[in-house]
Amino acid sequence: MDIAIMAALLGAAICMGLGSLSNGAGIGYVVTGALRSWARQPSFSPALFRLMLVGQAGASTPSIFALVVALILVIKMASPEGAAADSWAQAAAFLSSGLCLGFGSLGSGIGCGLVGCDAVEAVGRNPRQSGKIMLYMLVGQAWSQTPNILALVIGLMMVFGSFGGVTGIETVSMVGRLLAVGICMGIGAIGPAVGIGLVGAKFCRALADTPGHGDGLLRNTFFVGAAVAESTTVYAFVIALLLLFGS
Amino acid sequence: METDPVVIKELGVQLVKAAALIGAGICMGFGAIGPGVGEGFAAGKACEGIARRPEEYANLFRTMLVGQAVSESTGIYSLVIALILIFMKG
Repeated sequence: MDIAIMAALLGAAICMGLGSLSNGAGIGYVVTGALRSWARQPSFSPALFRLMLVGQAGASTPSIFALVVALILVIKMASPEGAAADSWAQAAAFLSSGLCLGFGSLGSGIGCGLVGCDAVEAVGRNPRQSGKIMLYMLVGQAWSQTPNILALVIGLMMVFGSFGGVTGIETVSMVGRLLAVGICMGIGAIGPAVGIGLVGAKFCRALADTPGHGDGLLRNTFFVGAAVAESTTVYAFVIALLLLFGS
Repeated sequence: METDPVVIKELGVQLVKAAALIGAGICMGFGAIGPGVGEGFAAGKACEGIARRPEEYANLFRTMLVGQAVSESTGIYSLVIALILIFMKG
């Protein structure tokens, strides 16, 4: 019975499919912002094009995380020692890590795209602030990726953890435990990532409209607001760790 | 094949445990979506408001924090329920 191989392949497919689902939309947002900006400032187009490419690169990192985990799952199953570790608990761990990274990349893909879109549009509104806006665009995108990074940590723990030793009737609760970890961390990362993206987007736009307060009042509001929005993904991370390392 | 009543009882215990743990995962996972989006929305609008009227910073910032705290409450309910499920039945 090759249940672990089937679960790993299914997990890899879910991981990469969901991971690129929202990323496509997010990268598209950046282009819409760049086009609107271009129409407003045609003379500034080379700099806008560069900024659009940077924003798109930043917005595509969530799907790269999903790609890494999907590749690890496929490569691990192709190796002989991977195929030898065949049990229901191991299968649940592989499927769960795919769920974790797949759902975990959904929110960050959208969030990073929102930040990139408004940042490129903000440069069109106020080209003199382009350096500062690009800096805070990257900060906002990195921050929007933190829930995804927490999901990556949990996912890698499950991919490289060894759960083959669980046998007998204990397997039933172990399978439930491992699936719960992936669902909790994966879905828990969606909302905060979108929320942080919304804050970062409005902050970039505010930088263009009111540059005088960019480094003071506005930055405080951005940092505090994004930190509060992040809190629920930290709860999900704590619950996922409790589930993973509980008895 | 004759089924042993002890095995059936043990299987029931394991199933309850698995269901409670999956319940905790679903509870915290979905419970984190709403507060995350809501708090981000509030903070984004606060940035917009402060950019428009920087002299109202103190009021806007306080209102943002109160709104976010209220929005956070449902996330904390999910956390409490997930902890109860893990430690009572897990």
